[in-house]
Amino acid sequence: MSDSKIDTEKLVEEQSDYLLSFAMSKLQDLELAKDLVQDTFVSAITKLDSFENRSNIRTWLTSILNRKIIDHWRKAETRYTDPVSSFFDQEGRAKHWLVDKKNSTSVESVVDKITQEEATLELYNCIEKLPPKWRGVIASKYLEEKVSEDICKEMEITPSNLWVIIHRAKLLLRDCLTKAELQ
Amino acid sequence: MKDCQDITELVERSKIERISVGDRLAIRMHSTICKKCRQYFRDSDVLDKMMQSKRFKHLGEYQFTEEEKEKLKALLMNSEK
Repeated sequence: MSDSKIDTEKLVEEQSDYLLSFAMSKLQDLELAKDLVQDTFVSAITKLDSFENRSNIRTWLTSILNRKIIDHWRKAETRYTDPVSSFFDQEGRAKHWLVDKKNSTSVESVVDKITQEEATLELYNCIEKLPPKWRGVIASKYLEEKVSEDICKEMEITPSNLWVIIHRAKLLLRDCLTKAELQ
Repeated sequence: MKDCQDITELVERSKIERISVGDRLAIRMHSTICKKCRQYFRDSDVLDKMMQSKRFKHLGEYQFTEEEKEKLKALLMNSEK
């Protein structure tokens, strides 16, 4: 069908980089992440009937991708020789309790890292929803780290426009992030 | 008398350029009585930190090349049939 052709192209254009960022927030291997995103699209295409506009397409794709990442972790885990028995000795005491204490990461810091990764990704998602001009200002300021004068020249705005835009963009981002938190 | 809108805008301005002593005083005075604006100051700083973080910058770097996207589209076209 000709109209479904447009859909898949649009889908790839609009969602692939976001999905890749999502995968990379949980994985370290770029090639693996790309493979999983590709698998996600393939699954999605074959299951398009079950989508039925029930939710946001991005949310739907992200949930498929997340499933694939978890499956990957599970497979990777079974490849190791029983992680529990290598951690405990025969009497059930943790072998490395004292030895490795210096190098161990606190659970708190890991959890903190996970939520930070997710929050950062969510922020990306929120920035994409900003009006194009505001998004341009935010990208020049924070991603390209341009000085204010250059941003104003490039976007054809006055200095007072600049801080008003930043102010409003931040209000929207804050709103978007707190809503995401509630979901 | 400046309201919350003025004050929070002024804070963003102060992050970009020097503001007058009077304006700085106005922010300080207002923030002692306004909880919402104090919250905005904190949120604004958090957003700055997040958007300035390496992690945030890296996220934008993960992109498919145009070639990979075309391949992906072709693959999807085939799996649709």
